[in-house]
Amino acid sequence: MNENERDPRLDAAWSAASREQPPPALDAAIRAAARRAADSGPRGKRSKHWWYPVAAAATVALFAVGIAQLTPPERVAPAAVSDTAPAPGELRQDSVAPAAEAASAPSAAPSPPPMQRRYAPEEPAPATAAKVTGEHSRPAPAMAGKKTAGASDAKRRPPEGPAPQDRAAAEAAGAGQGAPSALRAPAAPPSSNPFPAAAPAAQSGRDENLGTGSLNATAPPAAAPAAPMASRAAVARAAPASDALTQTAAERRVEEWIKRIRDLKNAGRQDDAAKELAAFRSAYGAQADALLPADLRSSKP
Amino acid sequence: MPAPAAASDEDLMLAYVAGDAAAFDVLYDRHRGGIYRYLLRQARHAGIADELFQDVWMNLIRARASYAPTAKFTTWLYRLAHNRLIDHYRASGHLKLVSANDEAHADAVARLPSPREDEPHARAERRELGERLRAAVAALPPAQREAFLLQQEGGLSLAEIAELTGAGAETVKSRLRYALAKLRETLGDLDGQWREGLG
Repeated sequence: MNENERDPRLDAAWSAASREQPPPALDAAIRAAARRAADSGPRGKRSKHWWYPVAAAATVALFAVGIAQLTPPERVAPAAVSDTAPAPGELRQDSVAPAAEAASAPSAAPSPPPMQRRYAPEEPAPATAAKVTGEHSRPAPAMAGKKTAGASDAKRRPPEGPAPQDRAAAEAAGAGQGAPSALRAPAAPPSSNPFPAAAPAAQSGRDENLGTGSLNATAPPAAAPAAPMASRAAVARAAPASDALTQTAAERRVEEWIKRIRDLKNAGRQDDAAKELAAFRSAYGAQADALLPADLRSSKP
Repeated sequence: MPAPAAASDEDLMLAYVAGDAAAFDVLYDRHRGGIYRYLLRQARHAGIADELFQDVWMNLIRARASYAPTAKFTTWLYRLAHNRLIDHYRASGHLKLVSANDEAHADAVARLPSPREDEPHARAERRELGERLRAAVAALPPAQREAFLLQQEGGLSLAEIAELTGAGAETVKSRLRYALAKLRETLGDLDGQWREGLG
């Protein structure tokens, strides 16, 4: 007997003796059932799970729409607003414009682009903000206000990117065909007012509510740069910024201010230049002489 | 596309799972007789065997999606038949498959009609051989009968029978040895006829 316990003779005898087969009707029934199952099997699977990918796609779409709906508009808006909001410079421009028009100077302020005007109301006017916060605010050092402004600038732009004022200047240059840099300020982001002393010019013929001039007329001169800063603080999502950026922004504004004074002088508007110079000295106090170039340092208002 | 007749059982089953009805036909033709006879010998009633046979194949059709060719298809198929038989025994109260007592059934084998007692002429004896063999198998203890039928009808090896029935390989070997010994004893006097007509 082998390992499998088989006997060839018995196997043969059993094969001859055991030959029963299932009834043909049973065969037919089983084959038919198998065929039905084979035919319906794959279709059944498809019909059972066809909605899986559809449901997945719908879920993804729902999430996308939901996220888009829930995303606060400030995430996108601040950049646009900061680029186009009425900076103190714009208000100053409004206030200075009559004088410029009266003098028929070549530095006539170009009208801001429509986009800037459209977005302007979203940013609280510095004068208004100053009114709200002015009671509680103390005259802040100009540099401190600029530091905050620098922080705001740094928050809204990449470090290596062009400064907002530069961008605004570029835009204004495109729109205004080479307007003086001092008058391109309307497109500047909210920052400390580099020309607080322009307010008196606004008092002469402009709407009091528009400019910082109305506030500056009653506020101490040193508080003038703080007013836009206060408005910014009310609006702003303050973010830490590097001191280097702040310093750069401050220096740039000093330079712009000095350039503005020189432009006025060159244009023969000695009175305006003197007012600007006085405002500069008021804003920077004891530092003013150190910041002013020699030719302007000597000229006293 | 018709399923190739030379394909293995496993390939045919996989093809059927994939929706090839022709593969099932080939598979069915290969195993319908063995399964039917296995059930018929165990149930000992044609009507019951028909019912069980249909159930086994329907179970196969239903369970096709879960089929994995990790073992021989034949083992899987006969396991389905074995389980269906167990269910049948339970339902009918005749579950005696595991009580394999070889000695207790020795008398039954001894009571099988002896060819010498009959002394029919040669044709009658040859015709009668099959009946006597079937009767001898039917008289085997259930466990031995099952092992014998799985070996003969299903072509399963000792290890496969052991796996299917849940018994040890040595136990299965012993069962088969006992079963063959009894069948030889029963049919020993027909040794010449084996060579003549059946061998």
